[in-house]
Order: sequence, then structure tokens, then C-alpha cells
Amino acid sequence: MALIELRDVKKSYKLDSIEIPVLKGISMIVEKGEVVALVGPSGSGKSTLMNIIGCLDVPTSGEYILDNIPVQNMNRDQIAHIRNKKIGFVFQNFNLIARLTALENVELPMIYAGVGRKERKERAMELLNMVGLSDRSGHYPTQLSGGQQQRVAIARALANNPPIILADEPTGSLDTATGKSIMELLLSLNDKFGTTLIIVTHDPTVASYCRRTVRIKDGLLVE
Amino acid sequence: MSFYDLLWMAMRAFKANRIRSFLTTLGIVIGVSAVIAMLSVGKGASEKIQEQIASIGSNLIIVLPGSTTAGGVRMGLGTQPTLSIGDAQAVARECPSVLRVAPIRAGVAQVVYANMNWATGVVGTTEDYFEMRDWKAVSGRVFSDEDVRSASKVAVLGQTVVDNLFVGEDPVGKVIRIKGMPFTVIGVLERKGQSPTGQDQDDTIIVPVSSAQRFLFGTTFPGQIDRMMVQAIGPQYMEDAQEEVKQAILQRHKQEDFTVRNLTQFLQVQEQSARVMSLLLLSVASVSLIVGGIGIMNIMLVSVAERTKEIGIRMAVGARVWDIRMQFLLEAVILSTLGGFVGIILGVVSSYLMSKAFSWNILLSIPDILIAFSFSFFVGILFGFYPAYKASNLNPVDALRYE
Repeated sequence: MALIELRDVKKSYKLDSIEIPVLKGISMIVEKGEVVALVGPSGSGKSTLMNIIGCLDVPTSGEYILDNIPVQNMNRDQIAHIRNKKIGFVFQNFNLIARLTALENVELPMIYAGVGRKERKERAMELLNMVGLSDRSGHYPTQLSGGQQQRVAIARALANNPPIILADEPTGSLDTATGKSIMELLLSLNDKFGTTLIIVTHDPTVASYCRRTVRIKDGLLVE
Repeated sequence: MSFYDLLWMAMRAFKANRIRSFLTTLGIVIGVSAVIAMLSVGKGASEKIQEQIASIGSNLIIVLPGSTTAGGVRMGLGTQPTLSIGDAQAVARECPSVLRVAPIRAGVAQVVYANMNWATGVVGTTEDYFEMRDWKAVSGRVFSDEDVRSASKVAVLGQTVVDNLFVGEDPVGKVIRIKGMPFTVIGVLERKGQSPTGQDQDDTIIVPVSSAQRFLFGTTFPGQIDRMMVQAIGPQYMEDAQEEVKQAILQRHKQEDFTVRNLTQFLQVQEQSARVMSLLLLSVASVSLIVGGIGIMNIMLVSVAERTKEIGIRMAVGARVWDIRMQFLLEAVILSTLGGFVGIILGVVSSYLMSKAFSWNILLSIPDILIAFSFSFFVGILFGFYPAYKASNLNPVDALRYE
């Protein structure tokens, strides 16, 4: 069953009234439970594609159907709701809120989902426990190592039980050993919960963990 | 997203920037306390003046006799005895804008009771005088029309006279001697305090005008009076009444040997200038409140710029436009209402201190305080809206990329 379906998606940016095409017509399908590596040189448009898949950005033309919902005609609040429920983000630079504790960071998606205070504290603790950081729940991001911060970010991505996790260079800021453990953590989610993983990377080792690799070059797929 | 969560988030933001939050709030604190202090001082001042106007009596006109010239020396107003009871009756009869007239024959006399004596002003007038000055008896009664017509030897005393003649005794029914003439005390007047010019209004004895003429001060011509007080039927008829009184007496005297004056005018002018002054102070205070609001807007804009990345993260994890907008708006409103709250306390305390230090009359009212407080609330909404709008309108991709 197709979880993600892109049909001839194009995206271009305007720079001083000149149209710069970034995605030149991308069609792809990702099934539920797949682990996909999205690879390509910098400037190839993989970040733009990831933003569109993650509903952070909208295509200039083409169709995007996520979990049987056509996304391109939605308003901002509907799209925010999709991001909240369907997608968990893991970023290269972790993107934790510095003045919130690890626990509070994990709680954040649940706050916007309207989960009650007690319930979301419990769930956040559970998730931190799962990523092996139950003893760091009261720490602020600056008091954590890179690997630990990325684990908090993964716990946050899982907060609302999304079917998809989008990871943009999740190991990019980490050393090899830590990167490996983060990759293992991500893959374990796929094993345990059947979470679909889409991992953007330029690192062949990271791509080798994934069952399917999608290559992008100059705004087009070269599978 | 519940209100509690929003509140909690705002508190986290203040905790992260304690000094900045404090300084931002300070602007509102100063604005609100200035507004409250200015309101209380301004209202207190005009209340004081209004009290003074009320103690004189409202819508009063005074008619004084003209001046004499003795061997080329002009003697000043009131020195030529020209007014009479007949003039007063004519004014009462002929002027449609006049409500009451009280002729006055007055002088200073030595008053004796038992072994006590006291020199005081004795005012001979009619029963209307009490009405005009809104002056009531606290014990006994004031004299009547009948007393005036029959020239009864009755007297109504002011409190100061009572204090100086009677020791622990009820003066009503006692006989005092004014210039040696026995007068029966029939009433004691309520205390009026100082006049606007600082005279003790209670140091007086009031007797029927006929008795004053016959037994105390005499007359150089029949029915002579020293002055008359005229009350217009309303504040808007003051000028009409003045003109009518002038014409009525002019017709009888054939020459302008008298003066007609508005007794409350100068106080009304004073009240008006006090009101203008307090309005001026209030507008300066309001400006400082608005400056405080701009301070909030400034800090909120800085805060939005600083937290662009945070806003991007919040959007990525599912914050809606409304969530972001409410978060920043609430921060602004909390800052301003907190400032408003502290400002009220500071404003009340400082107006109290001013009233003690300068012995100013202040008037603090709950509605004024509520208005100042809700003003601070609306300043928060007004100046918080734009930064909140700006935050909620960020594009998540750009916000996330922001460093």
C-alpha cells in the first residue's frame, strides 16, 4: 500500500524574477514500512524533495498524496496537523529548543496534538527510556552530547506515533561510532513499529543500511 | 493546545530572559502608575474646588452698593449706602431668572452669654439665605418668614460662636446679648469650614434682617441694607439674571450706584483650570503608557527574530498558525498586564504619599483603576499583535534554516 505518492512534482524558486527549477518532475512511490535512502550530491534538490515530503513546503506543480490524502490543496493549519500526526522529523543539527529540557522537547508535538499534561509526561518518559536517556530527562540540550541530543530528537519524532520518520542527514554532525548507533536506533523503529523511514544522506555507509536507495541528480530521479 | 500550556510556555520564555522581561514590564509599570497618580490628583483637586463652590452656594450673584466720593477721595465699593429692602423685593418680583433674593444688613458686634463674650459677624437676612447657601440647622431651627416680618429677637448661631460662648451646654433656648440686646437662640447651624478665601464661615450669627435694622445696626434711610445675595434659577441663567438684576435696580435708582457680581465665577474658572491641568497631566501619563507599549512591541519583535528557529521547530512538530500567534500574543499581554498590576500598586502608593507630603486632596476610584488596568491589557494586545502575526506568518522551511 502506497504511503507516499509523488506525481510529477516540480518545484522552482524565484530569484530576482528568474525562475530557478530545483525539482524538474519527480514521481515516486514509497510503500508502508519501507526504509529508503535519498542520496545525491549537494545542490541536487534532495533537501527540497525532503521538505515537500515532510509537508514543510508545497510543490509548484504536481500532486502529492500522503496516506491517501492529497496534500497540495490544504491550508496551513491542515498541513500543520498532517506534520503533527503523520511525520516525525530528525534533523542534522538536532533542532532541539535550547531553553526546554529533554523531556519538554519530547512533549512538544504532544502539546500541539492536545494530549493532556499527565499523559504526555508519561509518554515522553517512556520514549526517553526507549532511546536510553531516562536519566537525562531534566537536562537541557546544551548539557547533552551530540549523540544524546539526536536521541532526544528521535524520541520527539516518535511522540505522536507517526507512520513516517524523515531524517535529514541524521548522522551528519556525529562521529562514526555514534552515527552508527543512531542508525541502529532508527532501523530498530522500523523493525519494532513498522515505521517508514526516509533518510536523506550523502554518506554511502548510511545508505547501505537502507533496503532501497533513491538517487537524485539535477532535480530528477536516477534510480 | 490548552491555555495552561500556553501560559506555561510564556513563563518559560520569561525565565530565559529575566532582566529583559523585567525592563520591558517596567515601561508599563511607570505608565500605569503615572496614569493612576495623575487621575487621583486631578480628580482630588477638582473635588476640593467643587466642595468649596458648594459651601458658598451655587449660582450666586452678589449686589453691592456703589462708592462714595468725599472731598475728592473715592472710598471704594460698598461705602455708599444705596441699597434697600425695596430693591431686594423689586429684584425678587421683577427678574424671571432669579430664584431667591436675600437682603443682608450685617456688622460686627460683641456677643455675651453668662460670663463669656465674643466678637463676631452678625448677619441680618431673610429665611431664603439658608436655602441659598444650603445651610441647615443641626439643632433647633432656622428662623421663618414670620420672624422676619415681626422682627423677632431670635438668632441662629454658627459652630464657632457656640464653641466660644457655651461650655457643655445646649445653646438652643438660651438668651444671648448682642450689642446689649437680648436675642433667643433658636438654632445651631451645621459646620461649613473655611471659605475658599480662608475665612471661618462658622464664626457668625444670623438674625432676621428686620431685627438687625431695628435693634443692632440701625438705618440711615428706611430699609437700608449692606448688600444682597441673588440666586439664579440655574447655572446657564447666571448672565441673564445678572442683567435683569442690574436693570431692575437701575430703574429704581436712575443711576448706576451699585455693582452686580458673580460670586462663584472665579471658583468655576479655577475648577476649569484644574481640570485642564489634570487633563494635561493625564495625557502625558498616557503617552508614557504608550511608550511602554512600544517597548513591549520592540522586545517582542527582537524575541520573534531571535526565536525564528524555535518557531520553525514548533511548526515542524505541528504548531498551527493560531498556536504560534497565541504564544507570542500571550507573552506580550502577560508582560503588559503584569506591569499594569504592579503599576496600580505603585500608583496608589505614590498618590497616597503625594497626598501626605504635599497635603493634596486625592481621589482614587475603583473604575479609574480598572480602566488603567484594562488599558494596559489592550496595550499588550495592540503592541503584541504585530510581532505575533509576524511570527505566525513565517515559512517553516525558512524559519528552520535560520541561524
